[in-house]
Parts: sequence; structure tokens; C-alpha cells
Amino acid sequence: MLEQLLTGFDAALTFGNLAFIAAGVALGIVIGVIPGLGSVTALAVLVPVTFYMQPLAAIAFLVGVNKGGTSGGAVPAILLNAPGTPEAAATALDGHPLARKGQAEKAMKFALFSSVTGDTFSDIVLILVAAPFAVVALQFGPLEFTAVLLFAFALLSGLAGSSPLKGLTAIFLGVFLSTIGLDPIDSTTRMTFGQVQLFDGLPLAAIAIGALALASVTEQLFGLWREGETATDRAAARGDRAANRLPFRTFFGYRKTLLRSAFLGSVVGMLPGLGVSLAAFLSYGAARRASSDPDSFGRGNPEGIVATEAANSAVVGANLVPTIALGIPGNIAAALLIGAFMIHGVVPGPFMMTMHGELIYALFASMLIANVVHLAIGTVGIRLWAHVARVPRGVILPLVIVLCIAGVYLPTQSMFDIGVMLAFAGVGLVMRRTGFSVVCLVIGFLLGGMFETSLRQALLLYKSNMTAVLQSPIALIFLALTLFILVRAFRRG
Amino acid sequence: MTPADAGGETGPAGTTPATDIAAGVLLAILALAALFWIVPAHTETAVGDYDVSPAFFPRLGAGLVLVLAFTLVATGTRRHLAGHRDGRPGRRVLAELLIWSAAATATVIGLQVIGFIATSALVIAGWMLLAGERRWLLIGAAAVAFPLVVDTAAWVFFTVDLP
Repeated sequence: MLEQLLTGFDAALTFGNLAFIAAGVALGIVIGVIPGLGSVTALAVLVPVTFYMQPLAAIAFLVGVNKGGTSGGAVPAILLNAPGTPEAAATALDGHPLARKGQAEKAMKFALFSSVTGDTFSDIVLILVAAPFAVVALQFGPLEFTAVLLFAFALLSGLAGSSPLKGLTAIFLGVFLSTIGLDPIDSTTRMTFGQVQLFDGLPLAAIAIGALALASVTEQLFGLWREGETATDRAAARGDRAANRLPFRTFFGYRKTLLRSAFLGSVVGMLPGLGVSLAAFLSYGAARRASSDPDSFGRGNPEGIVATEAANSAVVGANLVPTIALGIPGNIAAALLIGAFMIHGVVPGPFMMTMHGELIYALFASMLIANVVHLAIGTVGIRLWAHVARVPRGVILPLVIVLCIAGVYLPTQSMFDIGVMLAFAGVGLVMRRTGFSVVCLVIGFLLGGMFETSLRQALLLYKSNMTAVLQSPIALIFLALTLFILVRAFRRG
Repeated sequence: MTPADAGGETGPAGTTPATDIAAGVLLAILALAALFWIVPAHTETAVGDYDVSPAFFPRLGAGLVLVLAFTLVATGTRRHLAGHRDGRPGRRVLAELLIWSAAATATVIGLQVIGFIATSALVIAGWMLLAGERRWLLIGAAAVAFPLVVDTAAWVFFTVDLP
């Protein structure tokens, strides 16, 4: 394997390939910064661009876009508390409070370094264990997925809000909203009121940007209207050069959290469909539980940023495990990468390693190189983004509203989506003011479809026999953990 | 500093029992409407031979929201009876929601009638003024230049004509 990897490095270390990787990472970061235009949109837009490239350069370029796009989302989350995606909302939980203490640059450094570490970890996992772990992933059927999702809901309810009761309510509200559209099994309409736009369900990007980013922006603008710029705002804008330094020793002090989060992200990434958001919140929860000072989370604890960024970036590499080993995309980004593979004559699946071994190892090498490039470009980028932190919020936040409108319109060119985004900004604003977790609503909506499909498949598969759960140790473990978390949360709350 | 004070996601550190009761009642009404009107009227309720009906999951979601909303009302009432009065009042929420609704409606109408650039200019200027910004040159420059830059970038990079 080492010999093949060295050959891969030999093929990947060309000027052209490095230039494409750098361009991919830079474009990914820039597009990821705009709410609504994460790595998925960036990939969708840029896949056709690669049509005339060499296969390796094309796929390495897209891998760079994916890596840059995933970490770019952390920038608005940290600087403006305006996350465009649910996973970036996890970063905002501690990233923005740290920025408000005048340490925006430090928060972004934590995010970038953790992102690159998580990414590298998952790339190594991909290289070493792609095939064996794909076999493990196959052990997860509908019953196991249902149990994992219930576990995720229980965990989220206690994490993202001030009250587990309100967290659970928001999650199931999101689950209910996810049922609008066509039925996933028999395609009959559900609560569409005859509107064709609702046949595909409510648009996720519009809900996420409206409820997460725009609601937060609006809340801050109303705060400025009532109270004006506070001393905290002025201190945050000034920043403190010394406080923004991040010595390697300080970062390395979080090695346990880094490793745990990268591991969790890799495991979640290897299970098709679970996604980046779940990894980010599972990891955030694990870090908080393991911490000696759990109350400091949500108040600017760097460990929260480390945990979420390492985990969500680890998903990027690990998602390629089922893609390469089984031909099953782990998420939408991986599905787009499969499209790019196929454009260049590479059919993902069990025979990919034997038929295109040289290309795959060159791709592995490119992924590792992309992490170094990501670190270099990201570090330069932080200096640029730090200037944004110095602009008064009263100037920058109205501009974000316009970016949100453009960001939602660009992928679908639909006024309906803009309407949904603005409506959910109002919903998000009320939820934030009344202590309901907006993140829980969005994640409930995001995972609702998957929850329904896996539960209905399980009911079909086991003919609604509830005792079937006893036959699956994996499902049993996750259900027991769900019960434990819920009981503990309600006893505490 | 609480997460809310820090601008975190969790919102206010605490809400008044009255706000919780009002939120619970509102959610319960919405859930009841979904269970007894929206779902039956707009979803296929017949059960298939092998699968649950398409209405099963919406009902499950709405039913769980209803149960949790009642629990919220009960805990809010218990807190109220115990004399808890801390937290933020709910009237502010209503005022902000009204302002936002008006602004959002005007934005949607503006996008359809006068287009992205003009509407964005008004949105930027309006919100900057609301946020207390009074440097007119800065407001004017941002309101004019930023929508133009975004509109041009959307066309150049994505070949999308913004509304």
C-alpha cells in the first residue's frame, strides 16, 4: 500500500495538479462563506467545469472545493453568528462568543486547524480501512438507522437549547415539517395545498438560512436598535493581537478532543446518509460531557469549536469510504463526486480499486496534499476575514441580509424559496426569543425524511413486529443510550 | 456571560412562565389543527397492504408536538404558581415579529416589482438606519455598491440573473 501511495504522490505532485487543488480550496472557502452556498452548491456549479480536465486534476480540484467549502461555513458562524448550515451552527455556539470577546482571529484559527486535522485523520482512515469499514457500514439496516437517529434527537435536545423539553418540541416540529411534500414510499401528496413548489417539500437551504443565519442577523439588528453598540461590541471590533495568537502548544492541548471528534466524524461519515450536521453535534455533545467544565460550553470555549470543526471535516474524507468501496454516496457532496468520477470514466464501487488503482492512490495523495494547501490558504484567509470582524455590526449585518437573499436564490432561482427563508427567519426570531432551539428545528427537519424512511422500511421489513429490535444489538445499544440521555436530561432540567 | 448574552444560538437564558404557557398553547393549537384538519384534509389516510398510511408520520410528528406542548404548558403553570417571574417579557417578541413581517413582506414585493438591486439598496439602507448607523456617505455607498457587486458576481460566476 505504501508503495502505491508513493506512486500516487509522484503522480499528484505536479504543478498543474497543485494549482487545481489550490484553486479548488480557495473557491470552496469563498463560496462556503456565503450563507446558502456551501460545498454542495460549489460542487454542483463546478462539476461541469472539470469536464475538459484530466481525471486526476478534476477530482482533486473537486475534493479541494469540498474541503474548502466545508470549513468556509465556519467564518460567518464565528464572525457574525450567521451560520448558513446546521453544522456551522454548532461552530457558532462557541465560535461567536469567543469572537465577541475580541478573539475572532483565534476562533477562526481553532476552526481551521481543527478542520485540517479532522480532515487529515479521515483521509488516513479512508486510505487504510476503506474496504473493511464498508463491510461494517453494511451492517446498518433501517432498524439500526432508526435507533441512531432517535439517539441523535435525544442528544440534540439536551445540547442545543436551554431546555430539553423545548429542544424536543423543536425537533419534532422539524420532523413534522419534513413530511410536507410527496410521500417517500407511494408518492401521494401530503399537505402541499395544491402548490407544485411544495411537491419536493420545503426547501432545506431556505429554512436553514432563514432560521439559522437570518434570524440571528435580525435578532442582532434589533439588539443594536434597542441598545446601540455596546462596550463588548467595541472590544470585539478592536480585537487584541496578543489574545488572538494561537501557539501550537495551546492547540495541541486539545488533542484528546481532536482525536475523539475526528474519530466520531469518520464513523458518522462512513455511514451513508447520516451527514455532517449529526457528526458536528454528536462530537460537540461528547466534548461537553467529557469536559471538566461543561458549563463553559456555549460561552466561548475553544473546545466547542475544535470538537465541531474536527468532526464535520472528518466526514468529508470518510464519506468517500462507502463511495469508493461500495459505490454508495455518503451524502450529496459524495454523490456529486460520484458524478464527476463517472464523467471521467471511473465507475465507483468494489472494482474501482482494482480497475483504477493508480488513479485512486493518486487521489488519496491529492487529498493529503489538499490538506496542506487548505492550511496555507486558510491561514492567509483568516487575516483577510479578521478585517470583517472589525467592521461595525450595524454596517455588516444588513449586507448579510442581501447575501442571504442572493444565496438562497442562486441555486434554485425561485422566489418561493426567498419567501420561505424570510418566513422562517421570523419563526427563528421568535424561537430564539422564547428559548426554543432553532438548530433542533433545522436538524429535525434535515433528519426527518431519513427518520421516516428508515422507520417505515423497518416496519415493512419486520412486518411491524416491535420485538425485532431485540435481534439487533446495535439498535438495542442506541435505544438504551437514547433512553438514558432523555431520562438524565429531564431529571436535570 | 450566558450563551444568550454572548449572542449564542440558545436565545434568552430564561423566559417568563407566561411566555412559555403562551408558546405551549400556540403550539398545541397548531398541532391540533394539523391532527384534525390539515393532515386529514390534505394527506392520503388510507392504509396500504404492507405499509402504514402516508398520514402516519405527519400525525406522529404533530402528536408528539401536541404532547410536548401540553407538558410545556404544565411546567409553565407550575413555575407561575411557584412565583417565578424572571426572564424576558413576550411583548417584545411580538413587536419584533410584527416589524420583521412588515419588512419581509415589503422585501418580497420589492424584489418582484422593482428588482434585486433597488430592493437590496433599500434593505441595506433601512436596516443600517435601524441599527443606529448615521454616516450617510457610508450608508449611500454600501446601499449602492454592494447590490451591484452581488448582482454582477451572480451573473459572472453563476450566470444567474437575480430578480
